Amino acid sequence: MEELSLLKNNRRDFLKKSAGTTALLALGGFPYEALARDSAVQLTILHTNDVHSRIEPFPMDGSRNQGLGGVARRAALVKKIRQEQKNVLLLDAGDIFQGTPYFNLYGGELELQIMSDMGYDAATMGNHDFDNGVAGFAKQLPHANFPILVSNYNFANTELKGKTQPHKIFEKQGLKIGVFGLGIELHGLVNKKNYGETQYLDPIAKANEAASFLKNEKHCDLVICLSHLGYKYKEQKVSDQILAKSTRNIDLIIGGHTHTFMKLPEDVMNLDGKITTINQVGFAGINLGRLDYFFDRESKHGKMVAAVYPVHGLV
Amino acid sequence: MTFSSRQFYYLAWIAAIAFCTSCQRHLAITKNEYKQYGIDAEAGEDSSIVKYYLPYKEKMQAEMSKVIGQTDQELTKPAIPETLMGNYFADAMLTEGLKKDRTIQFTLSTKGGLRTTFPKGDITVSNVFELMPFENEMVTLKLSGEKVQQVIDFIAKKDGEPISGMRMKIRNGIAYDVTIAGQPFDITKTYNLLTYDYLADGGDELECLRKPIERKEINKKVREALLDNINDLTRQGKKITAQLDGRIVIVKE
Repeated sequence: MEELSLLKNNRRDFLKKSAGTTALLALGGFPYEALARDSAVQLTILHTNDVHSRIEPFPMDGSRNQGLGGVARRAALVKKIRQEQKNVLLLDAGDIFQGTPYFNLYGGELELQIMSDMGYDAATMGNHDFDNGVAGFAKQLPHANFPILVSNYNFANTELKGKTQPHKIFEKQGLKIGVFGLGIELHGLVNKKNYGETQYLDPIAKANEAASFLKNEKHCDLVICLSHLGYKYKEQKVSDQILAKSTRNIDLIIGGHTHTFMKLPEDVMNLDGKITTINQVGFAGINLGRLDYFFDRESKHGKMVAAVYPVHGLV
Repeated sequence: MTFSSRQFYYLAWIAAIAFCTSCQRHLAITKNEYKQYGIDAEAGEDSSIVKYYLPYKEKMQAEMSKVIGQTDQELTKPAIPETLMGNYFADAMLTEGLKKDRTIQFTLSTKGGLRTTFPKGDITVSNVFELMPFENEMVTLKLSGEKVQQVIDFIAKKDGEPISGMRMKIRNGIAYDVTIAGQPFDITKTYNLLTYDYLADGGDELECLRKPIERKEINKKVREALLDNINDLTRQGKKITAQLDGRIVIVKE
């Protein structure tokens, strides 16, 4: 097969050939499953951020986002993807709370119950998840059947003590996926009364610690950071871009906070000269991001397989 | 098939991943793909989820559509320097704040923070949520005269902001004849300002509110204070009213 030798060629050549094959693929030609059966494992990562209590779609009131979003639609889509894919991880990068009266009236229980129903595997905390105080979040946690991952908040002296985890390892068909979470600095952003004795720890130091642990000690095949730091800032404030450049061992950063509608994931060179990918999908559940990683079981022994993939039209 | 720059970038992304990760000791990523789903009507709906949130929705709608008070005229907001909405909002904050802290002398919010107008007639819980959708909490700040002067300069620069307990004239962007709680402003004195945490933390360019002499939390959301205020008025058989009373006057040459 042509694609098996592609990586031996220079990149320009590779891209050119890919473009050609892509045209064939677009016509429904080559199913990747043929390859997948033999040696590849496919992992599908679905993600949201800053859903902000958007239970129903935006009302049809002429505003920019009218008719978009809605948990029932997202649930239907996730269900469909789960039927098609064996290995799915559904993740959220925080700010689950605040934005509609559903939060004001019910305090977040509905958001967490529906996320549980949809089968979210993990989420991290955003600044708005503190809007009813640490106690307000802790009170709603029994409604979540998925873990809240945060490695740079110390909750030891708060109601959340022992109720969050720094990271979690998921196993899918022999793949190990390490996921950890990072929260934004709370001082100046959240009322002190609401974050109370929560201690904010340096996200870069904690990220390096968590990612190294997951990759080097736990031998995860993929390390994902759920970050509520924000995509990037004009000032020198820690962001996903700075995080990616200043760390090792993170493969993917699923971001939030800045409500950034990224058209494509962005690749940043990390401290090891490897790629850390950043992605973020706006806010309010207007979009669902999907990243498919294909892992090759044989490559451990040096055999390299590269395949051509369709270029999706972006919705 | 045309090969757009976006697609080109996309392929480069894949290629880079494939090169960089293919020889490590973990399972190697040989390729990856990205897709973004827009969540719109085409996605279909999971009816079990709708069924699940419907009771919450109905209860919420019942709650939100509850009529709690009445206006005798529309409370608008886009005019300068004063607005009916702004004056009602600021006065209601002062009234409710004083119930918790007798030392408050004046209040400040920002035009941008008030998110809607009130129609003439019935006012529902929903109207109040639209006016103040944020969870802002009221705080009292003890400010030096110098800081209050910065607040005054800010209000003048903005051609007026929703205030109560304070009056001023503005000429060429400079405030004069400023009174606070009925007394002429004295820069050598300290003053107690009621505002909300977002502004007290320096939001909306109000950097001058940070680092006050003292900060006291009232422990009440602005929205709750407004709901209380309207419920009180209704209990007393009163309407929600506001006047443009000349608390801020822009003097033309």
